[in-house]
Amino acid sequence: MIRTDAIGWRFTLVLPLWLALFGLVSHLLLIAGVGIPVVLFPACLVVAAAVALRITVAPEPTRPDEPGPRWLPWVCVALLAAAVGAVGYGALATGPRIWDGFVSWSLRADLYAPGNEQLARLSTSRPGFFVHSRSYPLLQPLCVGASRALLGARAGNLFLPLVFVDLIALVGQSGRRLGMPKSHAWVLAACFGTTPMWLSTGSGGVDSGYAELLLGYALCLFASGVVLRSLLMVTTAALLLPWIKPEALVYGTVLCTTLPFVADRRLHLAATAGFAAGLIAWLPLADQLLDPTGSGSSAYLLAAIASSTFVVVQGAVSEWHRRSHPNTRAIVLVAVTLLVVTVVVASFVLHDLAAHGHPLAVALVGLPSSLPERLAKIPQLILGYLQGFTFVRKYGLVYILAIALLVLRRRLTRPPDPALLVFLGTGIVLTCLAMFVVPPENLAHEFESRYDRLLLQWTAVAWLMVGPWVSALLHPGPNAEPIWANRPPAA
Amino acid sequence: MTPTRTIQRVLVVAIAFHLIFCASRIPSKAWRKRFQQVDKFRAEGPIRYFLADYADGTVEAVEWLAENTPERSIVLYRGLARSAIELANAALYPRLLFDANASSSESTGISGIPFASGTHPTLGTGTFVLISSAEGLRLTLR
Repeated sequence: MIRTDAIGWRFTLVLPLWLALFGLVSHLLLIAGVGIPVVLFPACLVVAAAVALRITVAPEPTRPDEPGPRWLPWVCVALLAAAVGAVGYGALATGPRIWDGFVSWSLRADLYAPGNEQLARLSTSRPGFFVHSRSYPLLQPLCVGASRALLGARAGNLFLPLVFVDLIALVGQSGRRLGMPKSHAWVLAACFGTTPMWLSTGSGGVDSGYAELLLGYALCLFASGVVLRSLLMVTTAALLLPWIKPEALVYGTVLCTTLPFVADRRLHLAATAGFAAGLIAWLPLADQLLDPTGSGSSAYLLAAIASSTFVVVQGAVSEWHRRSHPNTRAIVLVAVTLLVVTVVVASFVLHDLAAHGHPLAVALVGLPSSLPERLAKIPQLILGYLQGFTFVRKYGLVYILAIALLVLRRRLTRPPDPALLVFLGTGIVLTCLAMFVVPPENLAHEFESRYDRLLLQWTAVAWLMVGPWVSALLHPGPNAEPIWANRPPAA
Repeated sequence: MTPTRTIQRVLVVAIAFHLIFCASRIPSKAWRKRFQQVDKFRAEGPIRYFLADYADGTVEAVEWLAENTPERSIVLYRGLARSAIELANAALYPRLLFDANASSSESTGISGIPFASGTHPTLGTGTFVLISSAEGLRLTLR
C-alpha cells in the first residue's frame, strides 16, 4: 500500500535507499567480475522509491505556536534556489574543473560506467596501467558513471547537485522532526545550503567532483538517524560509509564504537550490521584493485576479522556499559582477546597495504619514526586548527557557533541530543588527528588543501547540532524539556 | 536556567550574520566566478586549462596525441607517475596509459588493444611514449 503521509520525508529517504541498493548490487557484481547493466541504476531508484512510499514513518511533530514572519520561508527558498542553481549550472556546463575531480573522480566514473567493463577490468587487473587513486572506494564513481550512461555526459553530472538538494532537505527536515518550528527549520536549511565552501568553485565544492559531499551526506544521515531513532537511516548510512572515501572507514569505526554510549541497543546493532556489510562488500574489491596480481588475501582477512570482531566488541561494550548481561566479564574478555588478535593481524596487513601504496597505511606505518618531528609541529597544528574553525569565508559561523554553545552549555538550557555532541566532537578530533598523521614537511600544504575539506564533511552534522539548539533557546515553548524529547517514536 | 535576552540577541545576530554573509557571496563567488571558470575551461579545453603552467611542449604533446591517435589505443609513458601525467591520463581517456618499462619492446599492444603509434611531423614514425617529469611531459618514440 502506498502511503502519502509525511511525503517530503519519504522523498528525502529515497536517495539513501537508492544509493545503498545500487551500491550493494554494484559491488557484488564487480567482485564477481560481471558488468553493471545500465538498467540497474534506474531499477534501484524505482525499488527505493517503492520502499520509501511503503515504510512506516513517524508523523511530523506539530507545534501550536509557529514563530517568525510568513515571508521567511520564501526568502530561504530563494537563497537555496540561487545556491543550488549555481552548482547545478557548474555541473551541467562542463565536467569537473578542479584537479582531483578531473584526474581521479570523473575519470573513474567514466571507467566504471555501465558498458565499459573491458577497459575497467583490463586497467585494474594488470600492473603497469596508470590507474589514479587505485585503492579509493567506488560508490561515487559508480553512481556518476551510471548517471552519465543513462542521461548523457553533461546531464549525468547533475547527480551531485541532486545529492546536495537531498542533503539540504535532510538537514531541514531533521531539524523539523527534532521539534523546530517550520520557519526555524527553513532557516536551518538555508544556513547549511549557503555554506560558502559547498558553493565555491574550488576543491570540495558540490560540482568539483570530489566525494566530500557524499561523505557529508552519509555522516548527516547517520547522525540524523541516531537522534531520530531510525534504524533504516542508521543502517543505510553505516552501509554507505566504507564505499565513499578512505577516511570514512575510520569515521564509521569510531562512530559505531561511540554509539553504545549515546544510543539504544537496536540502533547500535543496526549501525554495526550495516557497517560490517559495507566492509564485506568493499574490502574484497579493494583487495583486487590494490593487488591486481591476486597474490594477497589481506583485505579478505581484514574484512572477516574486522567485521566479526567489531560485532563482538561492540556487543560486549554495549552490554558492559548497560551492566545488564549476566556474563559481562566473559564477553569483555573474549572481545578484548579478539581485539588484540585483530590489532596484531592488522599491523601485518597495514605493512602489506603500505607496500601497495595505500595512503592511510603509509601514513600510519611511518608515524612512529617521525614522532619527534611531529610533536615539534604542535604549535603550528594548533594555529592551523583555530584558523580552520574560524574560517568564516568557508563555513560561515557554524563552527564558531558550535564551539561557543559547547563552551557556554552549562549556562544554557535544552542542550541537544548527546549523540550529536559526541559525533561532532568525534569528527573534529578525527580531522585534527588526520593533520597529525600527514607528513610534517607538508603540513602547511595539507592544512590548505585537505583540512578544510575534512571540516567541510562535518558541516551538516554541525548544523544539525547548532540549529535545533539555537531554535530551542530562541523559542523555548511552554516546556523546558530537552530538544529531542519531542522527537517522534522510532521508525 | 532560561537563556538571557542577551544570549538570545547574540544568537539571532549570529544566525542573521551567517545568512547575510553567505547570501552576499552567492552572486560573486558562486555565480560570477563560476561563469568565468566555465568560460575559461570551454575556451581552452581541459588539456590547456590544467597543463598550461607546465613546461613548454606539455600541452602540445597531449593535444597531439588526443587528436591523432585512435581512442581505442594504449599510450605508453615512462618516468614520474604523478603531476602532469595524471592529467594526461584523464585527458586522453578512453585511451589507457601503460608503463613502457613494463612492456616488452617487441609487443604492439595489450589484450588486443594496440599501442598508440603513427607518424609525427617531427619525431617520425613509430610507437609514441610520453616522458613524464615534475616539469611536464614530452613526446618521443619508443
